[in-house]
Amino acid sequence: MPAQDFGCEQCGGHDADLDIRELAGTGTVLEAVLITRHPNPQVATPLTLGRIQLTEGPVVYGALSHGDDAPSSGWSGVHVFARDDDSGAGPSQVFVPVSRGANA
Amino acid sequence: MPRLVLKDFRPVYVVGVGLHPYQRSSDLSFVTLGLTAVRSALLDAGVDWPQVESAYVGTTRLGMAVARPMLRHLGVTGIPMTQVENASASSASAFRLAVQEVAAGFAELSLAAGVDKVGTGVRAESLTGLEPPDRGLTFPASRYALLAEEYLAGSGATARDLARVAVKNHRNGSMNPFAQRQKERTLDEVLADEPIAGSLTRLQCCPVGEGASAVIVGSGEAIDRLGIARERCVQVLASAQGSERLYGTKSFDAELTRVTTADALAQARLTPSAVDVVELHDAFSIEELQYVEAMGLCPPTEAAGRLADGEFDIGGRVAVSPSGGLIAMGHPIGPTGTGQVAETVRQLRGEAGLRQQPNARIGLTHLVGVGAVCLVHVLAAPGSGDD
Repeated sequence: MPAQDFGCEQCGGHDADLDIRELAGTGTVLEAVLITRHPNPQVATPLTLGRIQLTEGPVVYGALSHGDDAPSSGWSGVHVFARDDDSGAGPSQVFVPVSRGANA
Repeated sequence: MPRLVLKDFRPVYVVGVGLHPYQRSSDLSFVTLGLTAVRSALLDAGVDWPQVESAYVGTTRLGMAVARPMLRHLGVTGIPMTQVENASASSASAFRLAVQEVAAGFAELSLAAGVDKVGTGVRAESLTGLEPPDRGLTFPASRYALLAEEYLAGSGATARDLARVAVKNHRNGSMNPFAQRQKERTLDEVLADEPIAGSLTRLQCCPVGEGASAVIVGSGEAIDRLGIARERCVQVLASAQGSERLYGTKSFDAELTRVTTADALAQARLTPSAVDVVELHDAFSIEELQYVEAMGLCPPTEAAGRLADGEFDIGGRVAVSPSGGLIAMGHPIGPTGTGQVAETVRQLRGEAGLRQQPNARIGLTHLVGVGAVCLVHVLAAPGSGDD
């Protein structure tokens, strides 16, 4: 979630009223879908896209891991953590199941 | 002081409607598209352009000041012209403004129209300077595909149930000469079509296209003074608009629809069971199932079963998307709002031909738009209003 000091959507507090907090990068997958065609040609497909509720509360969209990192029985309810990926092979950040790695 | 609503003002009517067919991108100028719709609406109303006192034109991809380059070719009259942009709901907003203006007495006759060509739209949200939280991964079909997963898991409905929405709407579109898609599709065809995201296949998503629509809004005084056929005038009973609040994990489109529709029906002093015809924002098949529940047209989780039983067919308990909806009629964006009004007016006049919902007395139009906004209007057949 990008830090912003424009203002709080809930109370309207802004600038010095706001603190920047680093989020843990963990959460729970609500739903996931397979994207086979993306309007942006720079986004590699197939891509598994998830709606994830972060531990701190916000709901975000993010790429979910593929292959050996993917859960065998669906993503809904799976606890995940965000892992940066600088390889350039896919999205720069991917959510991986907690059971698949450290940093839970 | 209590908030004023449309019913607190003099009655206001739709007296004329017109469309240019929705279609794939072509070389036609937006001027041709728009003038076709406006001239058709003027002819339908039996009024002349100099009698129109103001114009609101919805568009999303034609840049600044779209109205005058188009409307001047009807003969310049110097009337106030305003462009309206509210994403998918642009001409629905144009309609609301025209209705409010006539209801309040600032004009006797006003044009609300929509026109768009295929092009790249820029969302202001992408220009905030903040990195988008989704890092550019999502697009509309992907977000609605996720909503579909949530709905299917919670309702027991299946991918086949989703596809039935598209089957119904393609069937309706096949009977609509203004629709972009006029081909009936079987359930198997819809399911086997190109996958886009999750359970959504291409035929369950609205097409990209161009088009135009226009409605003439008038007062009772204008109807009498100009000799407009009162038996073809459809009263606008309510106009409601809202924007997104914070809903936690809930679908913001569904929650916003719930609140805005309840507001519109309360203004009209009607319950959902009174509605005979609905044109809603079915850009993706899942939306129709979500919104008919959110509007109270059926209880939660029951939309798929009732759709399969034919309740939402033309001839069913309430005809949903009789035009073919955004899926088959099309969604050229700017024109979609007043296009929905045009279809609803035809239904309420009894002029919808093969698509006619029998005994249609009350119609409801609904659109949501990125931003997020929601507009709902309630209309009454001639003789069924409160005038």
